[in-house]
Amino acid sequence: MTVKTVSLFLIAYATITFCGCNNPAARSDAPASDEAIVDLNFNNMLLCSDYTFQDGYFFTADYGCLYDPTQQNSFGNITVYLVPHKKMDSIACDSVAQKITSLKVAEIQQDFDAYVFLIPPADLHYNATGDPPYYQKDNFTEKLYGFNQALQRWQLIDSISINRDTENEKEQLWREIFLQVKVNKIK
Amino acid sequence: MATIMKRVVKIEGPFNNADVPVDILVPGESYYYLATPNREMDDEELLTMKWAYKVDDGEITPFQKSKYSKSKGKSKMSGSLPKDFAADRTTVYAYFNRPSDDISMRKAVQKTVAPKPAATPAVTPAAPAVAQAGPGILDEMKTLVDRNIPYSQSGERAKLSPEGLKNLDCSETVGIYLHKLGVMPTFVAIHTGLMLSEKDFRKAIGSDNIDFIPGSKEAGFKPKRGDIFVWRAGAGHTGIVYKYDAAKDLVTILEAIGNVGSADEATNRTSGGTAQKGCSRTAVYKRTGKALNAHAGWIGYYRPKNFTKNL
Repeated sequence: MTVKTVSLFLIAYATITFCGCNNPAARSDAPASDEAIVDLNFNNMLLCSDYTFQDGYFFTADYGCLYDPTQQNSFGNITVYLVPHKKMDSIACDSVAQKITSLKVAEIQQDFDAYVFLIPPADLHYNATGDPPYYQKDNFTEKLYGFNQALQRWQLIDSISINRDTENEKEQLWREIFLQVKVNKIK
Repeated sequence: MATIMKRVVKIEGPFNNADVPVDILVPGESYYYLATPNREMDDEELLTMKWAYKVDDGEITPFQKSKYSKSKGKSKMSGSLPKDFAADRTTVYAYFNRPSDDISMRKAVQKTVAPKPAATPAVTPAAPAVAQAGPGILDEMKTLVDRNIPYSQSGERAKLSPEGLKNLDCSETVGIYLHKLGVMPTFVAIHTGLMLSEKDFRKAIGSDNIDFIPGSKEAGFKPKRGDIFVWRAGAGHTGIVYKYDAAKDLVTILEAIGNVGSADEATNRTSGGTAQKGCSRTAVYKRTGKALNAHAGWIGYYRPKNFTKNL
């Protein structure tokens, strides 16, 4: 191995280490730069489906918000997660889950930290006879966006590349660890 | 110019003596199968196609006494089942090099209940409403889903081969169940869009052996072992009732579910269901909970009937 090759390898390794996706605890959600702010507006997605409570957060179960460019979701496959600002007991959470979709978007954004996990259309295979009518490609990217209250904008927080055949659990782990860290911060 | 390697692309049958495809093989009856090669062949080459069979989960064995011929560019294999033939199912393979589950035809075999009188049995027998002897299909399905096979619609959705079972989705899992049960004669891909009415569901599975259960959309309905639930709201979900616990009002479901999980995951995890998601699994839900009766787009339960296997 030449010195040049070793250097390239080290640079690549350092990049991977510092940009790693699997250490949500070490990540800050504050936008590091303007690049993190996105033009995508997921506000309408907050009302796309019923919510279910689990592990301290509310989420759109099953298929989340279905990608349907002829309707309101032209972003891709979306799952919305809402982390309340205060801890909830299991009785309160059921009634809150029912009420969320009757709230206005601004009220949801005020009462919860809102996160959207997005798999873009380019990473979906269309399948008219499927449930849902698409599925992830063998290699797909999933992006995590959060609503920044201060900026009143959505920001890209993280993303992950997945090989579906071998890394299916990695996606779940990435998503659930992120949420658990958020839930653990609730007082 | 290189010759295209010969292979079998399609197998059809079994057909009875009236050239009618049958769903259930009857011991003592004669049948024939047809197999299509991937290119035109002269008679000599076509007759090099081989045929084999497998009884239940036994070895694949070449046919010895069957008659091979040709029919309109296809290879034709004719034969009859011995009168005392006893098995749950028989799989027939057509091949040039080696048999493959991808090119095979699996059919249920009618049980030999007693020595047959002189009367010829019907091709499609009046199947019993309850189980006959043999392995339970629900337990077979539970063993399958408990392998936690990754959830996906990709790959073969209507094959029981290792490739077909590499991934599973919800309606594919239900399709396997119906096929194993004998109420879906040919294993085909289905989805919840075809399960919205009894008529559509029957058409999709190619038989009338499934009923929508009247009243099953209502919150008071109690499902039975073997029922199939369906909801559809944009996309849909379906699964098989493995058990209903009346005391706890919980339903054990065999299903394949995506990475996000169900709307009643909390019950599932605290009631003995499999917490793993993005795979096939055994789940436990509240009967009236958000994963079942209270789910948006709830359709209700279907019940297979006239099946030839032990539930």
